[in-house]
Amino acid sequence: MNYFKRALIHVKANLGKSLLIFIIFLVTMGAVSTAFMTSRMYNKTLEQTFKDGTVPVYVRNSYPDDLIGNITYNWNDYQEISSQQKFDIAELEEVESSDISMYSSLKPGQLTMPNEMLDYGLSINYVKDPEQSVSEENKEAYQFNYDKELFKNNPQSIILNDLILDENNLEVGDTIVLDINSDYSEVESIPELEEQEFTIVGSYSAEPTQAMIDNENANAEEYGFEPDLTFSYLYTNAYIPLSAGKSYLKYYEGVDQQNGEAIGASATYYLKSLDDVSKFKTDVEALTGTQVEVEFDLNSEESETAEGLSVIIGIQSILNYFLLFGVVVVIVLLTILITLFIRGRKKEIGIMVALGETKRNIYFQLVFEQVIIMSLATILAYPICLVILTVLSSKFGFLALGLTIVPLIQSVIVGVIIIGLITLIPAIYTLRLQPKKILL
Amino acid sequence: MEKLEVKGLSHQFRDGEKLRTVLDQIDLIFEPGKLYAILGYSGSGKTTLVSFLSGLDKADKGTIEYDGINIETYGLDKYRRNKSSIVFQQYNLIEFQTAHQNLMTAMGITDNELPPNSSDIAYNLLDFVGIGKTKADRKVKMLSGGEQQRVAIARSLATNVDLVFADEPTGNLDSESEREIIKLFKTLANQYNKCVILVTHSDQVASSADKILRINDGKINYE
Repeated sequence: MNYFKRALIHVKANLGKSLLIFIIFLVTMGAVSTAFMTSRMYNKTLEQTFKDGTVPVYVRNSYPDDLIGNITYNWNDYQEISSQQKFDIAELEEVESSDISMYSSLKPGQLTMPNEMLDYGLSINYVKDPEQSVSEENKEAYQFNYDKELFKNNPQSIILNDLILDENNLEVGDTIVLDINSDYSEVESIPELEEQEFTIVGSYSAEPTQAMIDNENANAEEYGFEPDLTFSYLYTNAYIPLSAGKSYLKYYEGVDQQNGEAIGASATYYLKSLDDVSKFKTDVEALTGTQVEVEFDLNSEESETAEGLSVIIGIQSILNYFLLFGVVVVIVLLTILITLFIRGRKKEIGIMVALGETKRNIYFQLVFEQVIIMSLATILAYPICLVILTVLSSKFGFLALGLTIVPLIQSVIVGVIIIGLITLIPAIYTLRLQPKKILL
Repeated sequence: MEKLEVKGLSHQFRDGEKLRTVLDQIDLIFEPGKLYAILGYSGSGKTTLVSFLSGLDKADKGTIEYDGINIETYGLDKYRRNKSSIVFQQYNLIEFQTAHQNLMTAMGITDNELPPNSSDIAYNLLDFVGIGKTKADRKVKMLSGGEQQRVAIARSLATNVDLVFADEPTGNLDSESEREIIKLFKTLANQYNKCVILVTHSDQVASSADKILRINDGKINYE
């Protein structure tokens, strides 16, 4: 009969004591399981928000007249993206929002390009009144605006401000030769220049719409800055109309708070009409190679999910505060209890030592006894907590978790650590027992 | 067959302010197939001696060799596990286990090779000492003193060791049980070739032994 069988017999034969430890473990493992479950629920709910939730369509009055708004679909199913390896991660750029568009300046009449030119496409903004611009770089005069995502399939394209076209006697369809680096490189790097030919695929008006002027003024008043129409409307005027009706993807990799290191993608679509919504869905599916299981909701607000998340965060906060304290109390309590029980088992342990049993095996028996009780407690506690959280989820609108193995494994690991700690003192006590004094 | 040999064994313990010598330069040889009785008055050191012989404790001086190997060098845990077993006056069985489980526990601890049908062997051993199947499956605390001592003897045989020690094995038993237990020990020694060493203060118990050793003032004399 090995120590595992002995542990089993001991647990069965000493039901009262086993039951007491079982109840303590039941409560502890319930709390631990709930903590891990809510943590997972929170992450899953966040993920599902992007994956399956409603996607708001923003209607913006600041857009040019022929656009009604935009949709941005964040595809943040990190694990799925990673596992598919669909995209060459080496090509992904680490972006912050400021990296998506970059600007450089040149003086009027100088059609040279910045070194950091993207290889996919570029546009050149023209600063109408450089002296009045609040931006130092705009004061130089012309401004280049280039964007990697805009013309991914047509890298040698360029969009120019109509003022630049006029000054250089150019028109749409013409080609121009620019001194740029053929490979996209870091903004701070100093690449070698080479001449490249670009086709002018479009132009845009330098004049802002009244809606843009109103929007800029409103923002300036709200946030307390001087209105600056020298750049923003030009950018909006050029960028959005030309990208309207086409979806473009932006990939990024970085560290996400919930998912750790990950890559993600987002697609943006500028709408000319509401019919474009379905086209956007088709485009995104084609670009990502996945089904877009979302409902597009013109009137949706993200408050529903936020409410659900706040409930989970509430549960988590309570658990986080009390769990650590609770676990420490439980460890102390169980250590005292098991030490007391072990003192009552001096004779049994002395007999086993007299029979030649190693102290290591006696310790293992002690540990296994707790493992058996803890396992039974976890088997009972886990579904109870799952049911409670499922009921809460239906009430408060956050995601039902479903039976999942990860929080269970996490709980069992914590349980084993607790057992390791609570059996330390009894083990030391056991090691010091002298069978001769107990038995003879 | 292996012999148990004691060479120059000495031991003292503190008795108040004084150091008292309980064993003084003892030399002994125990052979298989014999029942030995160590006789002495209470406090004479006979239990101390058996605790050294059985590997439960270490003496201050001297050596105990089994089959020519110092038992301390061999390892006292290992010695108790594989070479010797002990029967106590208080039986010292695991009370929440059945008689059969007590034997299985001992069989699970020893490194000695045991037959694959160890459960049946355990029942047979219990039967051999007079504990039938029904009682074998009872918790030992439900058995009488005499029955518990029989279970303890069966346990000492379960690990298939050659040395069986017994410390006042009949001390808590009535005279009829005493006779039966001593008969069992004699059978073990004479028919099963075990070396059985029992400690007693009873001349009557000692009279059944093949050899009697009287311990007095730290010295041992053969009778």
